[in-house]
Amino acid sequence: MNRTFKLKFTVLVFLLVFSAVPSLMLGSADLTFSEVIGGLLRRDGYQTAEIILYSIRIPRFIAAVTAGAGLAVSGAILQTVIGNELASPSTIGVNAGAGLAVIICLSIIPTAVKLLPAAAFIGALITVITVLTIARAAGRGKSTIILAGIACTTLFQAAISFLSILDSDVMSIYSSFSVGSLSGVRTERMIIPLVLIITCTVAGICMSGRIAALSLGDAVASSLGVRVRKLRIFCLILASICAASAISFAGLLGFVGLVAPHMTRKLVGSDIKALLSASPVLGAILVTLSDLAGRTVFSPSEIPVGIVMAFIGAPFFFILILRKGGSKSA
Amino acid sequence: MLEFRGVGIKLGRQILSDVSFPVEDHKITVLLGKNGCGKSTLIGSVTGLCKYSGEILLDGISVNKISPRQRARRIGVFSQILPNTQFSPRYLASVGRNPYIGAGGILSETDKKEVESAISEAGIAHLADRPCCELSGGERQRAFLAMLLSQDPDVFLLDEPSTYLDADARRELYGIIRRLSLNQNKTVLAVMHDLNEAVRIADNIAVIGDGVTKFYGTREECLERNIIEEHFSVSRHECIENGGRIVFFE
Repeated sequence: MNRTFKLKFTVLVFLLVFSAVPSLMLGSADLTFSEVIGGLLRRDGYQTAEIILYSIRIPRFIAAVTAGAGLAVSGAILQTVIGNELASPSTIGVNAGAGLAVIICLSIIPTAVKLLPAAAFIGALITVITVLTIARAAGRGKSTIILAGIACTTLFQAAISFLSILDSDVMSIYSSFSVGSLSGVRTERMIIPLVLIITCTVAGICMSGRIAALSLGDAVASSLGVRVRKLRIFCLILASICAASAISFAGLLGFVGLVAPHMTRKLVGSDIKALLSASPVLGAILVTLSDLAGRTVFSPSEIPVGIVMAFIGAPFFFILILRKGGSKSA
Repeated sequence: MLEFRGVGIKLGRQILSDVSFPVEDHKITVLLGKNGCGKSTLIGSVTGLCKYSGEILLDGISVNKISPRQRARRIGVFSQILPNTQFSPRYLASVGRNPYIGAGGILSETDKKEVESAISEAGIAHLADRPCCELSGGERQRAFLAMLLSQDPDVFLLDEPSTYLDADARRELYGIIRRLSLNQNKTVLAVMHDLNEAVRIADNIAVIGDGVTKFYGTREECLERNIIEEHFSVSRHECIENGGRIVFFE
């Protein structure tokens, strides 16, 4: 990776650190910069700030960074391995699978709110295994993965609607999970997802050469000594772990996995190592700023981060489709 | 030496039933056959892309028994269909070092030297940092050639390497292929459509048709026995150019 990338990466990290300042200062109760410093250093006279920071703002910032990083890495890996720039955790059914698992969990044990993250995690992984099994049985290459993902998403969403109609209490809890929110998130719930996301990202970066070869097609990858099928399955599992880890505490945050890798590619180019290194930082910045906008723009009302991301992501999605169409007709 | 022994491939229908011929070390073997006769399929089978019956041996060992990384260090393939990637030629050449890179995925100084040398040899140094999707067909072909040169295998399997190239670029490509064989002691198996180019470049020629090997021998034997005229229904012409005899088919 060249000097230009290092410079751009440093700027991104600086922006992420810089975004922490308003994220810690602003909210339903605004803090001044000196209160933030006083609270962080646990100085006398700053007890209120300390409580707000350590019990609400810092966990929320860490949650935004972790969720953004996880979903961005997941999207970057999926887009590269599947070779489709519209691929993201939601496209291959990971989001719907996690949502269905949450609904099933609530239907069986309505009070088991603490089990929801684990349920989301298991649901996402089962979905990936299902999608891979269907795609393998169809045997028509990597595009089948997207088709199988769309089919699973449709099926799971129908099941979610059916179960929600049966129980209105389930519906109300699920509705906040489905839009994606960082409100009330706790640090202890993020430890395992954070460790998993870091591990998967490092694994992805170390295998970036092989992933790059895989993105050139089965024939080229195979001639470069890549075990094509094994690597593709491994990458999809890595992507699912990253996405499920984020979903497990942040809910079904859409569009980060789609938008962040594209923005990163525009910024650092198509080098896979650069993409997998920078996209988690950009994803973290996007979710942090979206969460900040969600809780400040219409204050005192708070808009869940998932809704803000959808307002940013959907137009981006339209532009992507229009540009793709334009390039084909040209 | 790479050797095909009784290779049969079934992909829905029986593509190949009994293909046998050796690819002699340090020589250029050209594989000829009509469209759809299974030339590219045969090349793909070497890297495990399709299952086959019979044996494909590299120095007497079945290629199936060699690990993919080890195999990629010995055998490199230039595919007929090149992906339209956003990677730059320099990045492609670094991806070509994949079989040599360790678990950390970091290029060593040797790898970096190989990458630069491959870019230069493929004649794409002036476009090394441009995305391949912005290059012409011929330039993209050079970019992928740089990847293959950077892979530095002993055996080069070239599947119609001159498809997108103009006359000058073809001449340069054949120059590179000859240098690989003569100066670097590399072994080349090239699938070719153009019979005239094939006869000019080949040391040995293999012709396949109806799923079997129709002919294998030296270029001279091939010309002596009128194999190309018989198999491809063309007529042979000869002329003298710069003091040398030129054979061409029409």
